[in-house]
Amino acid sequence: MTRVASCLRAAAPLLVVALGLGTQSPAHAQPTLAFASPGAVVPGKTTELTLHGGKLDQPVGIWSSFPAQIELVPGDANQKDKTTLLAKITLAAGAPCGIGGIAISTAAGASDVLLVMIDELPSLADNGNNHTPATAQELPLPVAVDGACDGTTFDYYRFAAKAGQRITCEVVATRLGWDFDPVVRVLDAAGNELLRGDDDPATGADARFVFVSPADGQFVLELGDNRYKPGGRYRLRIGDFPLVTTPLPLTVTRGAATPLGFTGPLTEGIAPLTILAPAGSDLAIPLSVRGSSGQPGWTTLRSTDLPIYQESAASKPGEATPAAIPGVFAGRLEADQPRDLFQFAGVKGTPVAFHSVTRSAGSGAILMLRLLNAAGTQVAQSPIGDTDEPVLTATLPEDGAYRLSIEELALRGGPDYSYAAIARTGPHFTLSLKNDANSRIRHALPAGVGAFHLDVQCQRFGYDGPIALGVDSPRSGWQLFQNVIPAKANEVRLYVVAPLDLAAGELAALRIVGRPDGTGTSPSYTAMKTTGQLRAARPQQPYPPAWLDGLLLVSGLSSQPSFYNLATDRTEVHFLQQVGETKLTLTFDRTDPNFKDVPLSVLPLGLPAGIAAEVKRSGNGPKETYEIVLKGPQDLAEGQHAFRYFAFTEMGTNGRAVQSGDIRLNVVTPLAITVAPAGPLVVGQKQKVKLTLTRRGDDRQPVDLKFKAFPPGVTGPEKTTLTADQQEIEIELAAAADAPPVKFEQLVAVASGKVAGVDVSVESAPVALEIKAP
Amino acid sequence: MKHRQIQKPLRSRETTLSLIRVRSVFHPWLLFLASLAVVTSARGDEPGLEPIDVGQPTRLEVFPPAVKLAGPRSQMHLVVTGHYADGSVQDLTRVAQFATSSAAVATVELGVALPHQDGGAEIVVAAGGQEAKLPVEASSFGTPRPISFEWETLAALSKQSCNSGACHGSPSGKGGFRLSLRAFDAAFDALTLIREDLGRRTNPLDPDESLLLAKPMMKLPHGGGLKLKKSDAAYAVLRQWIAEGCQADPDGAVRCVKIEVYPPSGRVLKRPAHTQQLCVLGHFSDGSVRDVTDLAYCTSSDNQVADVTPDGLVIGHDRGEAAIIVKYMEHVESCFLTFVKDIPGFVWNDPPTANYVDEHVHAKLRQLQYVPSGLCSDEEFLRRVHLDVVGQLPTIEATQAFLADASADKRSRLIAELLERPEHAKFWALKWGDLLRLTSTQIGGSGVYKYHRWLERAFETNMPYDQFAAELISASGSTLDNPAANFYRTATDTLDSVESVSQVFLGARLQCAKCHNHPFERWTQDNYYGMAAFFNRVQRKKSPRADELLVYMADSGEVTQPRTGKQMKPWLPGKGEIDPPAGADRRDPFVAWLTAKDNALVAKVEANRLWSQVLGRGIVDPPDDFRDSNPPSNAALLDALAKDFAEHGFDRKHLLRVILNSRTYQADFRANDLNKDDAKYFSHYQPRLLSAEQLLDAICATTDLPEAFAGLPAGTKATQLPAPDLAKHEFLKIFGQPERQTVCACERAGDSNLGMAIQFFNGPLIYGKLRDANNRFRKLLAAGKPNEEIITELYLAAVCRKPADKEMQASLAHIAAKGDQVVALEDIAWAILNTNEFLFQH
Repeated sequence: MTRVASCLRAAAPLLVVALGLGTQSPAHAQPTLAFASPGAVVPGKTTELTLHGGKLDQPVGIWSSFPAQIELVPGDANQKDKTTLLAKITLAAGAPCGIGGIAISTAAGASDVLLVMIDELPSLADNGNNHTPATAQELPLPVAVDGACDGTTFDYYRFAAKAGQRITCEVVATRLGWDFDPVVRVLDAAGNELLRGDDDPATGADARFVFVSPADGQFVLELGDNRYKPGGRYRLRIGDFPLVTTPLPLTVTRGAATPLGFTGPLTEGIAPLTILAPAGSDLAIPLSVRGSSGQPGWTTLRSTDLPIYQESAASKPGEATPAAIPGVFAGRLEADQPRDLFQFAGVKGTPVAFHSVTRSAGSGAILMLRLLNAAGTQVAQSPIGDTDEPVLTATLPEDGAYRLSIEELALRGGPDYSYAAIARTGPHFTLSLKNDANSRIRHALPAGVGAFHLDVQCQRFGYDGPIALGVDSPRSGWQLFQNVIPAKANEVRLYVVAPLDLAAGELAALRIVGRPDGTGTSPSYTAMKTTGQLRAARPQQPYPPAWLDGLLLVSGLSSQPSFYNLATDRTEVHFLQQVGETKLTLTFDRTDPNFKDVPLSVLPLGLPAGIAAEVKRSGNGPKETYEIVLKGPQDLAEGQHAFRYFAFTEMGTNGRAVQSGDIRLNVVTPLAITVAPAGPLVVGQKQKVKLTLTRRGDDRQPVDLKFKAFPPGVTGPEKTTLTADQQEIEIELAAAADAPPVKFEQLVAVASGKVAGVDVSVESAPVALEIKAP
Repeated sequence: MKHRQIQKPLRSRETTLSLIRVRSVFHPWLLFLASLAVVTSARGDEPGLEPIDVGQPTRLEVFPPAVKLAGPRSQMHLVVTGHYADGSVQDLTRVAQFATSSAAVATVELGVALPHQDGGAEIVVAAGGQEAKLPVEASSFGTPRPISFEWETLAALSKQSCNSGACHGSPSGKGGFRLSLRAFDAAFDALTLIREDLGRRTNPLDPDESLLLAKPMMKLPHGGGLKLKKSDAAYAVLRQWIAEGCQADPDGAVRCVKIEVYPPSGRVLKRPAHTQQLCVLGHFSDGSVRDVTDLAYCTSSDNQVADVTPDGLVIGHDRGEAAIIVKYMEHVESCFLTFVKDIPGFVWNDPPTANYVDEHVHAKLRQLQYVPSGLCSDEEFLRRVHLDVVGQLPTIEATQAFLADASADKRSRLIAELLERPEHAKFWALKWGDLLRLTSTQIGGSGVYKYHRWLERAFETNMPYDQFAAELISASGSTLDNPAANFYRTATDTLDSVESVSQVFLGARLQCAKCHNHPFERWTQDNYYGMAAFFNRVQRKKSPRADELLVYMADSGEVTQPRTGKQMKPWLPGKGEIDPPAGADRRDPFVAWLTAKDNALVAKVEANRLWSQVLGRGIVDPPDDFRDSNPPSNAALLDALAKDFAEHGFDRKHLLRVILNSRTYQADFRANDLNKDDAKYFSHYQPRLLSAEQLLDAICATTDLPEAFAGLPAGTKATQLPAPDLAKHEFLKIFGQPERQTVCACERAGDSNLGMAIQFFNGPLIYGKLRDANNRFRKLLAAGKPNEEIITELYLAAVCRKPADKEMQASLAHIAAKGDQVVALEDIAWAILNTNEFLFQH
């Protein structure tokens, strides 16, 4: 038996690291989680949760989004391809109801996050024999049924109710990620339909309703998929609990005690509560909400550092709620009063952005925001696009009072149409992971060399500077490469390398955050969202839980043979003055026959100021090379520097990185020449002078040599040429009979030629030549 | 037939007295008038027309009662009506005699008053011993008036159909000469006729050499053949216009604002009174009224009943009703006439009536001298009403129980019961699914089920039709939690919305008016875009939620008429332009108008649709094609149904109950000698082929082998499919299941074809069901039932009756002859399925 424990921070995504299960190379595919039974974990108890899935052999790590003590009971270690796994999950009493997530890892990788409920209602399994009203399954209320949809065959449940008894019912399915679109009918004993529940403005496909029993008796609840699609799952909660759409306001200020109300189709009688949202995290806070029966409804609460301005329910049409920017304008739209107004003072030239928050927080509203000036003239309005949460941006044209008009786009209103508009005034940005097939949010990596890339995109609101990307993770040791979105750019490919000590099977969670790079402007950081990837994986769930959005899961793999080699025979390159360019050639060798065509990404790192790099690919296959071409000014000062390079490529989902050691970068002249007379030159006689040439680059060309000046009465050849393979030459100088004896201190040779196609010319250091009398 | 020209110098001047061939009794006074030889003129009975029996009218009525002739080219058609003691009327124009008190001022030629100089006179009209007098005032005789380009030249081209869709009015014109369709775009036509090709089509120096005249008169080759003769009124107009230099109308020129047609609708003409002269008056923007009969384009809605000549003489051919559509420029009016004749052997048998439906139907039948068939048998009624109300055959048990029931009210009880069956909602959701284009392709795999369920629920709860229409047309929000909003998903843009709303709820096919004024109907291009102004602010937005579309209203946006560039105000039929409050949903006033109790149109359209669903033919037919040229076959009946519908809160079940309980619905499909020619007036039930879905369900019911549709619950019937593309079925396609690409009910094919026959001869579905070991007769065989019982069950299941002795004997003989009981029963079942009695609703 393997015991895995965790001790996690409250209301934050948490990491559990498995211990001591070895690091054997995986011989099987990564695990999958399909569903759990029961479908919920109960606060204040230890819930034995059976996880159903595939490849659940030898689990190593488990991660949960909620604070819990978790013990995995993997069963027979020798059994292969196990499809169930028992987890004993102990939740603290009072843990709020809501939706959490669990993921497990084995030495072969990590599962996706399985969504489960945290729920106080007792769980009951669908007995599978309830496909007719006559065989309807008895339900003791309150209860939550974990069921599976049988497609064209419906599930039937029977319950008893007294006349006038209020029974609330909600199906939690798409909110748990299930592809189940419920249609619910309540029938009387004779089979007559008393109520039908289908889509809900706020919960989407998840039907919810209040049934008031017309008489004492037995009633049958029929549940099926709108499309008759099989395979979906659901948790049917039925009892007497509030059906909460959102808190009111749906955002509170962190660190400030805020009185909270609730809105939804059945929220009357819920006593307001005051909440103190903790500082730090901007993730949604789960809340249990209880009515008079004590049975819990549930919702989530957003938090912010900004002040909240809540529209008063008592406000009259056309009356504006006083507010200020930056701040959060919150309220609820009514069917008979479909427009709320907030008034604030603005200063000319102030950039403002109003981010609407509705559907991602559980509201059904899609807002239309309009910025009006004091005269009521529209200054700007939010764009209408595919997003449900538009952003209005504007620069205030003058000093004065402004009003923000908030309407529902289709003029809907009522308990399901709460909203918040976050008014920001300073430059800021948002980050998201590019929504394409190459962007993955779950990775299995070998330590140190395993890597993945993320195409991080930003949407800028008045901020044009660079954005530094970092990792927010309880796990240390992550290495990031190319982690700055350049100024004015909107995307960068970020590389993340697994920690050197990432153990096989270890499961780690991380988020990418961005900070303004060196500008000192707010915000302190912004987390990258992965909404696009989550929607692609679960189209039926357009708004994943807030804690899941941006979450990246990485599990450790045992050491893997690399599918490529990268080599260079250099540890040093010369950057030639006057040429202004040099290169380093990397030889790329594909060692796995299945690894084809995918190019290598090479990032030169640590280049000295003024030198830029360009990487050129040459060939494809056995003779593939990459040249790092360094370019800089021709008059760069001589000196010694060092740089490194980072290389990454992936075969399938297996990303692998190479980091070089330091490579010396010498800034030198392209040629060097020394002058060495064989001895003094006697008047009337001759003497040899040796010239030695050093070529610094790889380009070996003929070089012309000459002396800059001769001593008086001394003559020699005007120019001598060294062939491409010559390094040195002796030149004979002659002193005339009347040459004056002198010690000539400035004998300087000049070497001229072409290097890398560029004309270069260098002088030797001056040497002395003594002219002696005979 | 003689043709007159309106140009005075060209008008025939010969005395027409010699042409008068009247059978009326010549009154001495009339002879006196004739002897005065002032100028007397009449059309006279013309060759091919049945002579009029003038008889003894009690009075004459002449239209117009006073004549004003302004200008030398003015004229006025006179229409003379004889009123008789029995309340009947007949048109005496062609036999009346006309005399004038001053031939110098005005004369009457061929029933047309013509001026000769300014002044006053009196015209005396005589026929059948009666006379009528009318004053004539001629003015401006000496003031020449140039030919109007718009309301004379273009009207003349329209009259000759030069600018029809088949000729130069087609989008690409003909022979390099293109005119706007039916002169809807005068500016374009002015450019074409006056400026294009350097004016080579006209020659003011020698008008008769103009291509515009020479080609239609076939002086030069003309692809369209002979279209113009010198005797045509249009010739004189066109020639004069050319001679005057081909002038366009000056700015501010008077325009025709409306036309008036005499006689008004409703006249009943009993043979031999089978003709009716029309007079078409144009009312102009300067207040003047002109006779435009010669340039108005007239057509008949039913050429078998009546035709109309170019000069406005309606000639009845057979008993029945016809609307004469009169079009002059963009103005359209109609004159609805009924033609009656005595049918040998006709005696009204005064059949009983069950309700007002029968009263109206019988009144029409009596007027047209058709004798209705008797009631259908209980077996036929049972099968018919099941197919109409729930789309399926009754079970054998239901059939036996009904046939055994001796109570007098069993038919009405069955109707009531069927209307409350859940299958009724499902079956009628199928019908509306066709109109609302329910397909998963257009609505999405999730939305299509929700929209279908919304439809089913509307019928389950018997949602009042005005509410039903309002919920669809006013729908906003998410298409998933408000499925009615899918109306604007299938109607993908403004123009699609206009056309869908008008066809589904107004019964009007507006597509033509998108590009030009409707060639034959009242709808103009301005009307089309005025209607569009109600819907152009409807916007659609995608959402991150799969299948969801958000329908909302933009707070601004106007419609521009593409031809005129004019910004259009919302326009309502019969009301004109309106100014909705700023910021309001513009659909609201449209829905308010549509569903107003005093707006009979929407009630008529739906009442007619309900009628056509159960009678197989609309009172207006096709049921979504209400137009002047397609009048109701029994207007009083349609009015009564619509009134009842509105008075009962647009309760569709109520109206169905009324119709289904009528003897008209329950009539025998067998015609008698005195109604066998009738296909319009509901004198007997019209058998029709079962729809594709009904037929498949009927085969399944007969063989007791339900069809399984993949992805849908067991027991789902073909008549309950949410959308054709959810469960594609070859049999259904062959038998005309529509793709639901349009809002037109016509998309459901009703004709039979070879593929259908092959399916029933040896198609895989029939073959498979007959060979299936679990089919009805094999199970009965396995249970040891005798042949007689098996054969009886097959008949009861398929055609709701027991086999006749002859059928039983033939079947038993076949079994005996075949030697193989199973194969023989297969043959018998196959034969039953191939009978018309099975294939048709009868």
